[in-house]
Amino acid sequence: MNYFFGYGKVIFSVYISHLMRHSFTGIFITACLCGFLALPAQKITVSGYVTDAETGEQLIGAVVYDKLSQAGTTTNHYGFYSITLSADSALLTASYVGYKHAQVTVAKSGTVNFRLSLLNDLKEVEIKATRSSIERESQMSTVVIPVTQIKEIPALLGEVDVIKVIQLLPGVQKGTEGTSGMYVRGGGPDQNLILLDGVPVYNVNHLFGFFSVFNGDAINSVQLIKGGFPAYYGGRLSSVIDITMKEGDLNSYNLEGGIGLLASRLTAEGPIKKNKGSFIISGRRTYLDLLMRPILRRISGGQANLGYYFYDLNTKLNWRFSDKDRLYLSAYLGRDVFGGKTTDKYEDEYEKNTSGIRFGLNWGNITTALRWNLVVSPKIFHNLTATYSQYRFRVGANYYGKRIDKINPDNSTEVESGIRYISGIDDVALRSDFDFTPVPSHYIKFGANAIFHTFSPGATTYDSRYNNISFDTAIGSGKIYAGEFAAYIQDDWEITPRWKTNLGMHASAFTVQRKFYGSVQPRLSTRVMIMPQMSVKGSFCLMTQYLHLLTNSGVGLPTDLWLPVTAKIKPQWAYQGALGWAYTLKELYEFSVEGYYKRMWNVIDYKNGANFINSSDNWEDNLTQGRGWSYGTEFLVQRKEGKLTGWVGYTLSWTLRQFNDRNYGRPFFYKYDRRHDLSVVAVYRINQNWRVSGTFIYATGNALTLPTEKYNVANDLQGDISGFFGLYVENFDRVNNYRVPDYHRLDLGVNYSPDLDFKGLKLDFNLSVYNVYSRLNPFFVYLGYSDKDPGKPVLKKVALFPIIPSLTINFKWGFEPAPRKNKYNKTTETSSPENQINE
Amino acid sequence: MSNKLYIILFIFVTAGQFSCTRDLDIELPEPQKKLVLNGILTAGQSPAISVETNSGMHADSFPHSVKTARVILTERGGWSDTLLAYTSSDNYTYYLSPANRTIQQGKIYEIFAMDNKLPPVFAVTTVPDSVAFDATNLQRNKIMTDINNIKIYYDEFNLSFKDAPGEKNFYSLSVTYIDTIMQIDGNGNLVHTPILTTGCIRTSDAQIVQSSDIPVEDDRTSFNCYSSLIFSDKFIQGKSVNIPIQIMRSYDEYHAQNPVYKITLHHLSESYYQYLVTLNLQNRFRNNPFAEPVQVYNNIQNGLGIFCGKATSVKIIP
Repeated sequence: MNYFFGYGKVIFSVYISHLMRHSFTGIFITACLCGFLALPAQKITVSGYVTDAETGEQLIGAVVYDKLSQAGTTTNHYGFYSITLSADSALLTASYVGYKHAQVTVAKSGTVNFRLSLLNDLKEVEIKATRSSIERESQMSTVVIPVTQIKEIPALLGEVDVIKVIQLLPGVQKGTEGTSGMYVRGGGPDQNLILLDGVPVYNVNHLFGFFSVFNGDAINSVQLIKGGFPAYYGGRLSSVIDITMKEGDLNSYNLEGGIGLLASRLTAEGPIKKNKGSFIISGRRTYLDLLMRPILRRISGGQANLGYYFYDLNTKLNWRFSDKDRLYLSAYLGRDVFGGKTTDKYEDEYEKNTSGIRFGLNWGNITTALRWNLVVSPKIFHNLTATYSQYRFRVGANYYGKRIDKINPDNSTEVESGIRYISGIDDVALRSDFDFTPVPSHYIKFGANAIFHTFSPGATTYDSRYNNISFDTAIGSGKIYAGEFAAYIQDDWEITPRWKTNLGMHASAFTVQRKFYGSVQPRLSTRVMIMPQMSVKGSFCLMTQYLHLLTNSGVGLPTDLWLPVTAKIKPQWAYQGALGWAYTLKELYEFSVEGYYKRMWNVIDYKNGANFINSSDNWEDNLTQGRGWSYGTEFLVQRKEGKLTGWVGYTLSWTLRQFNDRNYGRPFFYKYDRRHDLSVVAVYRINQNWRVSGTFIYATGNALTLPTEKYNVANDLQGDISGFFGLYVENFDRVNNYRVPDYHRLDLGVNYSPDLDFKGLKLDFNLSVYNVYSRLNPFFVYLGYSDKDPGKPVLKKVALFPIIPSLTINFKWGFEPAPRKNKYNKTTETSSPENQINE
Repeated sequence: MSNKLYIILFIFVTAGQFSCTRDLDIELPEPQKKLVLNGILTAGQSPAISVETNSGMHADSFPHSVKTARVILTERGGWSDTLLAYTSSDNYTYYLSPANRTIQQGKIYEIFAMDNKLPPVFAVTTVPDSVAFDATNLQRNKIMTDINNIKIYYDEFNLSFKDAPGEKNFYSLSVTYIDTIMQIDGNGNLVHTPILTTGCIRTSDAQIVQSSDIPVEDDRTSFNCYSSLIFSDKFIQGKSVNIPIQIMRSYDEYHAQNPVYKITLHHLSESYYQYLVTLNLQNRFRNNPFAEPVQVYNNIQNGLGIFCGKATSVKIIP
């Protein structure tokens, strides 16, 4: 290691003078390098993994802290940590929310793997949080939501939904009632980077957006970043939702599942070989089609055969070749299928007619990731990932008709015609990431990635056959190939015990149709402790986005079309600055206030009259690009410990857009501009068996363009050119001039987990009541005529989901008890099971 | 399962998820009253300006003509007239020049109107110069085949003109002819009756198609045609153009076989072009819940409507 640093110093000194000439990049790298080169020689380096003692599942974001030197770090996405200390010995503590702390004394460099036990195992009721306090992190605008908490929040029809929980956080606006649309700090739904095990998921909607594609049983952790983005992330303007799948129990076989009103789930996990490798496979399917198909068939007298269902399949395999390298293979497959057929038959003495229509609509994602983790040295962790992501939308319809002429069979006819449309996106990507902790005060991440996109903007195939004459033709846009490349470096640098900063640089490039775009994006976030449990924070970041989403924005229809930048359509880019204050009171309550200002350029919108239905062809002509602003303040009070946990979040914000060819070029409030947004989430654990939970949401109504007046079309007495004389013009003074009624809703839930001792079977009953006081929140509104006063135009509000109770039965069944110790977990150099002390 | 069980399950599932849709009436806000001024000035013709007031979306009677307004039309650097109200038989009120003035091409006109307590309105426009053009090479009874193998008949001619360089120009082309329709006379016989018809026209010229800000509808499964072609000189700036124009027709015994066509090329002011484009878009997508609502172009200060100009050139073929 000394050789490494000695050699490094020479190289670095040559580079410093060179880099100084290159503005920010030079300053940043120079600052980082000077920072850790100037430090005294380090004495011990300890690294390892923090895992769940029972299942071997890696714990992401667990805190490892030396009580003697008060230096600390957190585990990365793979549960790995590395800490280098200047002392001769250390008293290391590992902690994670919902788990007991573990502590060990170390006196020399080596590997220490922590196995943390769940508090529940010890019959404790309280949720004990980690001391990874909000005020100590340099990162701001970031929220990590434990999956256990997500599962306890009441859900629509009992379906646990990660995206719906994220929508409850300050700074995140939801779309229309019940849907999964997300608008983070004034950004559009296309500006969210949603990663499942590091692979982008392009469409997160099931059932037209009422449910998201993420199955709670297969998820390990969920992280939302709204601003101050670390340089590791790129490619979207407004948010990152990083979801990590579970790895599977290394020690025992488990079955886990749930039977709900809408769908049922089943998850199986266990070791492939104990302590070496494990698997998890998790599936979910609706039974709407099974219930409705026979009913619809009977109602229609056997003529209609319709059905809808969706399913998900998550799977992950991992194999630990050694303590230093591990291989993971994860995959997700999800599909929504809607289709049916109608038939019509007629027969008399002259002829026999048979006709029918078949149609189908299906869409879904496939993601796969092959990941290799390698501990290069106690200070360097390497992750190499190859990924594939696919989104497809297909729709098709066929008509067929056959007429048999009984009098003159030569006059019989047979007709068949069909139309099929397919669109989608395919990504193949490779990324390499390094975590490097040279000294306790620096945690450096660097790496690069390349993504090869194949866009299918939409191809339509027509075919028809009349008796024996047939033709078919395919029209529409061809495939578009594009390459996206990025490299980054970031350093989480503790400059002084009070001042910590995360400096980074993300550089990206995009090439499509012989057009090249590139950008360099500085990232900075910093915190200064002003009192032991109080800090102020600031961040600045610049983001660039090379993909655009053509969508109707409101309802999560599967017609979403991802398209690249082109010579005409420029990349979107934005900067965001934020200032914040964070405080922890009595180690129970976390308070944070963040103010942000975000400006966006080249955001897209449809031109006047254009819409997603006619946008797949000549789509560039239907779009307009403009600017956007968003600013506001977010308040969050969170309690992670005790019988009562949850949060209160409030956002006061303004979001505007401006396009040259909309609203006469003047700025207007964005559709999802929401002045006030309040969420209250609470979970109260009465005892070991009973939990009650509730959420309350209040939000200003969405902005809507509503014609408020009308007047006659101009009459050209010398000849009408318009073709509309006699009609009237519907006028509105500005785009989004009207607000639909405010949104508010209360949901309640009760969980009961009986004490069972039946061969490892655990049951959990969840009763959720969605929209307790049956508030009829608007799903959409339209101009129509009054039912009470016919002929009087009024605004009609369509509301979905009044009060909806649901019952879900969850179960978990372990095939054999988990062993308390295993060979893998004993692998330490400086610690042994004896000195891993549970507090 | 029994029918009853199916029905119960169906009600439970659908009521829980889909059919809890409720329609609730929300009163529409009342708009502020404003003057609506519509005036399309045509070179070589007398001005006629209509003045009315706007109405709330729930109003069911039209028009709300204003008969007592004071309307002043001024030719910049020339005359200024206070126009007089004239109400037509269909209850529209137009304001006409008492001196029977004629609108001149290339001139700028200003209009001012006020009435009672409504805010006074003002607008200005330029009347463009007429454009000389030629319509040649008329070919009749041509056939093209659509994607469903259906034959479509049309006549075609070539429109040629030179776009004036160094300025933005906007055009509208329309074709009229005398067609015949079949009507039943007093004796119960079918008779051919002549009728003035606006031709449904289209062009296959990509530059013209691209020059229009009115999106062309899907042209692959059928050949769409329009009562007028409205386009700018975005892609033909300063060029001499020769455009094939197709007039879609029915060639059967019920229609005129070889009609004489009146070709009209309007040179539009920019405001008129914007008005036509946005009006077209608004009407096309009026009932489409997925389309972005369209704001119709309005150049009346403090009010609503359009004040614009055009110059017209005409050819008869053959």
